[in-house]
Amino acid sequence: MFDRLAQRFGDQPPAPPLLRDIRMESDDDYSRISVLVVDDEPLIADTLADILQEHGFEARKANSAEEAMEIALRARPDIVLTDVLMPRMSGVELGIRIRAQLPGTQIILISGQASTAGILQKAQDEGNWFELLPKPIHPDELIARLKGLAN
Amino acid sequence: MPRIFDRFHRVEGAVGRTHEGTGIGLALVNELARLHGGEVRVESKLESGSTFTVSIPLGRQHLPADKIAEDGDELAAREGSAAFVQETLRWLPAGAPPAETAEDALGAQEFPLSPSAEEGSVARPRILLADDNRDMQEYLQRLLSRRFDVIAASDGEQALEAARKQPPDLVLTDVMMPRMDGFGLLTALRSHAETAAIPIVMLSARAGEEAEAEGLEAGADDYLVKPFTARELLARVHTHVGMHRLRKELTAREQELRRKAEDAEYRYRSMLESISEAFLFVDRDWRICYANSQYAAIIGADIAPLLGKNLWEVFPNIADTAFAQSYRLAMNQGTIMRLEDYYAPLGKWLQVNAYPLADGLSIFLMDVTSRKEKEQKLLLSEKLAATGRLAATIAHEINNPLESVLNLIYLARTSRASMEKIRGYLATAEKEIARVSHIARHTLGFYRDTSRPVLISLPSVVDEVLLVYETRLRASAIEVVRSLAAVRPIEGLKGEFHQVFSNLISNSIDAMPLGGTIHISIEEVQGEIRIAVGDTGQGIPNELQSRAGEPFFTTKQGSGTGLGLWIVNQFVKGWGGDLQVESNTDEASHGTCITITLPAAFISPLQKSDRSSPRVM
Repeated sequence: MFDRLAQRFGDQPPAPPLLRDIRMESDDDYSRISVLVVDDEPLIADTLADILQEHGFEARKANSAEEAMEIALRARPDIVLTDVLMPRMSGVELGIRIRAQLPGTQIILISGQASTAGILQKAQDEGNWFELLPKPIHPDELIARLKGLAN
Repeated sequence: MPRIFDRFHRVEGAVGRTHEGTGIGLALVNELARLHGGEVRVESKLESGSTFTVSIPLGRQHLPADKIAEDGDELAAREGSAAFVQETLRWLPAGAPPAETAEDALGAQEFPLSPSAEEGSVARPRILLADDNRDMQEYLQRLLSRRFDVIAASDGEQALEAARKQPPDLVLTDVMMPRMDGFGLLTALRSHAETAAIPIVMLSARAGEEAEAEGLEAGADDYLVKPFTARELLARVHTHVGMHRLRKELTAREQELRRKAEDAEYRYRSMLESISEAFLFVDRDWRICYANSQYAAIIGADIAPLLGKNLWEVFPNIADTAFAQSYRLAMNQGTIMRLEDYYAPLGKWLQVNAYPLADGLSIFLMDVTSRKEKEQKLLLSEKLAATGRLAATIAHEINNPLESVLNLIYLARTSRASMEKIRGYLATAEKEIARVSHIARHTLGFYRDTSRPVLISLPSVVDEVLLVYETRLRASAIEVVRSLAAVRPIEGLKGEFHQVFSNLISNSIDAMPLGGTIHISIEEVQGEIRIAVGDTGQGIPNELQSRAGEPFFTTKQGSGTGLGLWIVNQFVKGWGGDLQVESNTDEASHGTCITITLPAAFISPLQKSDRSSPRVM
């Protein structure tokens, strides 16, 4: 998994030792993996959280970067799945802040707008690497991606 | 024999002085004797000799008082030339010589045209004297040499040679001379350009109006009949030399002026040739007076055949163009006209400046075809780029609800929840799909073919554009304040208005990454439509404001193309409207406001004529 990520992002710094000590109780049980879903569109945050819960993840949701920051510091999620374009603070900035305070948390961005490419490139230029998933993404694909990260 | 004392009578067949005789010698003797109350007698016998007897009474009682001079006075004291001249003048007609000398009488002040000999600085006028009689030659030389340089010649040929070698300021010539007479000399001098203008004064014993007329007819400037007074001769010589000098000076001055004029003309022609613009000058009758080679290049024809021809006849195709209208306005109303338009006969875009002058019209033209083509290409590519940007924005607007719909349907399909909850998922999905189709209908509608003007409601255009930017506005925490008065529909190309609002709103969003307010107002002011889009962004610094609206000028670091406002301006110009940029960087009231004014003519004529159900897109 890390090899694949490393391959995609080339000379990125060594990935933090995430999920190393996660113990799987069964193939379908990801309840010990906590995911924080962040989207300023409540409907998207709600539905994504519902889907993740259906698949056994421990899911939380936030409708702004500020709210997400608060929850993350309290709940220390394993994964933060965040929209990019949000008022006041973008998903990229949120990701950078969480990484600074919670080095063990994995960040995944999700965006449906071409202009995020620019924001992401700028972050990369400053040494901040993020995985970006397209929006819309089929829930099966998203789950597979998250399970891949967990394993 | 009794005539030998007559003036200018010469004994025919006399061998002694074949050519030189003036016929004056004895007449002089005779007159001098008579002046002294005496007489001359002659006894002569052919082949043996002549005896001349002069008898003069003694004393002075018999003489008139005014003819007596005291011993030791000036006259007696004179020597050399003065005495000679005095003596010679004695034979001139009665009352001619006053007691003073001829030279004194002919003071410089009487002949101001001639440079005085005493000054010596200016070259003295040169007089060529032609006379075969040595006495006369010497006499005249002495008379003239005080004020002139005299070159003497003893016949016409000699004189001609001298004159051609170095043209004098005046030729004084006897009529009767051996080899070439005065008339021959006159003709010869007049027939050569270098000597033709030299004044010629002829001297002759041939008295009478007839001879004088003959001389003047032959081209002499003046004609003096012997006997003449020294005063008369000098006066005429002075006059002619002076006139000749004046003519020469005037000619030189005229040439100088002509040369200066030619220089000036050459200079302005070089100037007009060196400018990159084409130049055409027409007079008040529209005749082409001048055109430079750049003009020839634009019209693709030679200039020479056009000169003097009427502009409208040479270019009949201009008649109905905006160019013709401008030219006429400029010529008739004296206003400077500027115009940029397409000239179909040449297939060129021309930029024209027409400046009215008192005697015609100066027209400067520039072929701006390549610039125009670049602009058109830029306009097209920017329209495409704007379309692309908008498409991306629209994609986002559609992608969000699609994400929700996908999730909802997935949940409905896989959830182990109650049927009621599943129905809830599906109902929400339905609403989201309705939202997608609404956005698609309203935003993709921009790019329907709108090459045909339609009735447009500006407030609804604003609403449609805001719909597209909804997410970006929310993402940047920007509030939109609308003040859309009930303006009448306008007639135009809907796509253009969509793009104008889209670009302005997009600029405002970019100016406020940290949130703010966009004010959009549309109102009718005195029949004109005024559109204002303002934001509370950072503002454009004063020094950059004039550049806003230039292509490729951007205040967005790295992210702008610098074409957004430019394209807005292009559209506004196309509508005959006006665009103003106001911006403030003050901390208290920063922001930028773009105000567009549309002319009253934009308000739909359909609307005014009260036609029912106009098509509003």
